[in-house]
Amino acid sequence: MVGRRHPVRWIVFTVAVRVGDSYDNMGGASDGPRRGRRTVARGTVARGTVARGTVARGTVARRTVIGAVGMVGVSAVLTGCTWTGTTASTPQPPPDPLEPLRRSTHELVSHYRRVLDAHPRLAGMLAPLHTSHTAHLAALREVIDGPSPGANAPGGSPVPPATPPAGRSAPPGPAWAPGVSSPPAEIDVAAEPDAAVDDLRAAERRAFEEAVQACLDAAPERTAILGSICAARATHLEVLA
Amino acid sequence: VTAAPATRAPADEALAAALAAEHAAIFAYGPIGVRLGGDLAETARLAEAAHRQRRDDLLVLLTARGLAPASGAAGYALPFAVDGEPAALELAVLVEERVAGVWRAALPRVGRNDRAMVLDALIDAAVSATLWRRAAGIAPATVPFPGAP
Repeated sequence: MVGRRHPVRWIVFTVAVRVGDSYDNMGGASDGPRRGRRTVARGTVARGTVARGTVARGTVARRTVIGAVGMVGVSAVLTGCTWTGTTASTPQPPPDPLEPLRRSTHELVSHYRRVLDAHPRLAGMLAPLHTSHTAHLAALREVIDGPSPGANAPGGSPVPPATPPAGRSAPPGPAWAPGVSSPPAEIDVAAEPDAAVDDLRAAERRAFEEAVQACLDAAPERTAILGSICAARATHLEVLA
Repeated sequence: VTAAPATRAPADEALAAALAAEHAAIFAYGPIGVRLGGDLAETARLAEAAHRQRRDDLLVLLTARGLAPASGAAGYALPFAVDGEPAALELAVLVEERVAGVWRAALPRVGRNDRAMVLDALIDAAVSATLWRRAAGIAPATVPFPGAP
């Protein structure tokens, strides 16, 4: 039980380290880094581990800005005719910053679906997690696109189409999800249940890290729902541990 | 330390609410801990330590901002009698869910510099709630939106 707390802490820690940090936003600037390291080393709750990511946000923000500028440039080239006024095409609005998270969440839902199809005996453990991710996808859709009429019941929002049976590759359908231009990548499901769960755990870990970053970067009004998604993914890692 | 202004900013209010929740959680882990043994007692000890650390961090942070952080009450009314392990586990789930709710509510209200700390606290409480649900045999042990009202 005790050891089970560590994976998530460690993950949060790695997120923080990955983005770099100086930990000087927590009040005691000079004491910060030492304190943080000691906490993690002690293996108790790695408090403030995400916090270290905050300071690092400078780095992330720069990268994001550079990326965003790059994307604007690309889209300007692709829709360049607009600038000359020779076509009537309307300029595309910039993609929502949560679009990548929605796409990866969709892939995660699909991944769970495939594992459930291949290993029905794992349903007791995996079905609730699949349900959570499906709810997250609906929530992200609503955050990005606004409330969709007629889909206000929990779990009643549009659900990704059923995946091909038995996890074998099949031609992707034409419409996977609104705003998602390509279907999720095909994911081979391991024949061994344990290996399939290992793969899910790795995917869940990446998804957790991505959600944390998205929450740290988001506009304030989006942080509550994103925070819940982060927390849910952390609890999924506990279940999959 | 200067006196707290009559009306506090939303961010300060949110952190004050989080502090109050942490005070209450620490209190609750007293009766919880004495009803648990073995691994569960250790889990309770770690969870309580986490809440104490958060409380201390909040005290330091609010004080540094010139606010007067509230101290914990001498006692809190528990929602039900903690007369055995099942009740202790049930209360532990409830405590962590409430703490998660307070931290989640704080997320949109705090400044960006505090956001990671708040998110970390929300994640912590949600994971603890899942550990307690599992210990209590509650299935599923997870909820789709931890901390959501």
